[in-house]
Amino acid sequence: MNRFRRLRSHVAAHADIYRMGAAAAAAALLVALFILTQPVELRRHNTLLGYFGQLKSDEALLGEAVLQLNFSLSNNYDQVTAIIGRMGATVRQLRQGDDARDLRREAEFQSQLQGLEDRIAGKGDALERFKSRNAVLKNSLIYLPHARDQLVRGLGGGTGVRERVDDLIEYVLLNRLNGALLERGDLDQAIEALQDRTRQLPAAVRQGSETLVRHIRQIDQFERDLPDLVQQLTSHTEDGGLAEAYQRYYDRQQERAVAYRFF
Amino acid sequence: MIYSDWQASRRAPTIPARAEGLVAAEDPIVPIPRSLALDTRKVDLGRRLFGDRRLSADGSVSCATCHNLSTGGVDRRVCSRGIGGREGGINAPTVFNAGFNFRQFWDGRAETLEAQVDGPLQNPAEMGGEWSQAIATISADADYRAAFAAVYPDGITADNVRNAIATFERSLVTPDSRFDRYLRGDAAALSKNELAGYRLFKQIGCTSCHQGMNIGGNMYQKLGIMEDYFVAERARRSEVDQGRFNITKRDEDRHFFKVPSLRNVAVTPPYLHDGSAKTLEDAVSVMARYQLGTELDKADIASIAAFLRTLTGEYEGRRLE
Repeated sequence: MNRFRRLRSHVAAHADIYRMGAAAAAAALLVALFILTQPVELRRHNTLLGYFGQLKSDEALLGEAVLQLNFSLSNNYDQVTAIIGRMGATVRQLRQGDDARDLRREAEFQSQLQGLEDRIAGKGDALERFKSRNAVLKNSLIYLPHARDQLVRGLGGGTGVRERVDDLIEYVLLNRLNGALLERGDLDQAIEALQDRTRQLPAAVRQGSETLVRHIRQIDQFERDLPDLVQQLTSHTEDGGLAEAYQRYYDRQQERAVAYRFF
Repeated sequence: MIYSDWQASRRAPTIPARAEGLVAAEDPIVPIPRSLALDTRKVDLGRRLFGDRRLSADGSVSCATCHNLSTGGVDRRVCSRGIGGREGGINAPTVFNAGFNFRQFWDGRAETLEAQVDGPLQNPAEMGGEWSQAIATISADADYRAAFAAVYPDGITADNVRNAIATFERSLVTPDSRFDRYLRGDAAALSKNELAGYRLFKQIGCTSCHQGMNIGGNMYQKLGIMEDYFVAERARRSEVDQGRFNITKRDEDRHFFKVPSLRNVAVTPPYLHDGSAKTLEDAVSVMARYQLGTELDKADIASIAAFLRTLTGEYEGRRLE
């Protein structure tokens, strides 16, 4: 009894403190409940959806720009460089940006993001190789007629060089028009035929012939490399996994908000 | 030019002549913008930092020492000299229009101008500094403290110093070169010889790599595509000759370098990563031989060099010298 009385008198003496404590606890509970009832902020949600859309759109634009370069419909690399840079910046926003801060604890989202980052880095690598190789290939294709002109300029008749050169160029250009790769054996044979004809001719002719052959070898090499790179650069890396992971996170947040609103 | 003539005759009826006042769609080069929207307070702050020798270990060198704005944004040495007169290993590229480059440094190791700042500041052969020392120096200066507080809520930090310097560097654009005026439709901006040089520049394939807004600076390319430059030209090789390989460690990247911008090239000698080409004519000749597999005669070299001299733009209303 004594103990009970002491407790009652203690509570009576400190009633204000206990009331304040209870009020603070209730307020904290209300704040916690309020937070839990909040869905994902609409502005943030829209920004994140915007990033996913931007990635898809940029990837499509990159593919288109690469195809234009591949088919000589575009003649500078500013656009592809800007697009891949923008894709990297978008991923950085998803990784470090304020709008994605709540997602840093989401394992599934982070794992998808890491995968996407790796794939975009791979695409960036492929793009650099494409740019370097495409530049050399296009240069050699443009230069080929001039290399031919330089070689045959001042060449007397009866050497057979002009005919061999024209055969070689025709073979290279027709194969390109047909979209077919050069047959290595046929190419080597045509080059040997030219070199046989120029062996006994003056140094300037031999040098012209070597230049032409070097350009043809470059064309041959890079026409083999480029299709794979173009394929890689025009395929989709953003398979929707990241957006789906976000959607699942978003749905969970919304469900939780609805559930807690009940309280 | 049998094939070329044939090509021209076939193309003539279908390709319209250059329309006056328009940038020709077929040109691989586009003019640089006349102005950029940048925070002028950051630009001014970055300008001060760029010229501040106190950021170096012994207070003798600033960014502007090697990137002198009155000499084309370079120091015109084969290799720059850092603190204590130490010589670097590579030719300093110009800082003008560096903001248009897709990567920084010859080997492209910095993705942004911000990331680039760390390189010279901490390189023992350049400024030899440390961030802690640089921040302490900047923080001790009342003017800097006020300027940073006005622009950056978190005040003086390494990130903010990087950002201020990079913002200033982004402001270093040089519009209105004669060639840009030509691209914008002023047909009289180039002489006949310069125009012939431009045609030749495209015809022999220079624009395969030197294209876009910065006439380069948007891709990597191997030095020595048609002939091994490092066997033929270089008795002494150095680590920097490996180029991008030093970053990626992939064999296929050996001797690959960022294609340099040709804007203002006439005022930024010497040329190439090793500074081995003393004149524009030397550089054109070396490039033609090793990159394009052709030997140009003197007249062609002079013609291309004449075109390259039209690429000099203006900074703060004055043509670069």
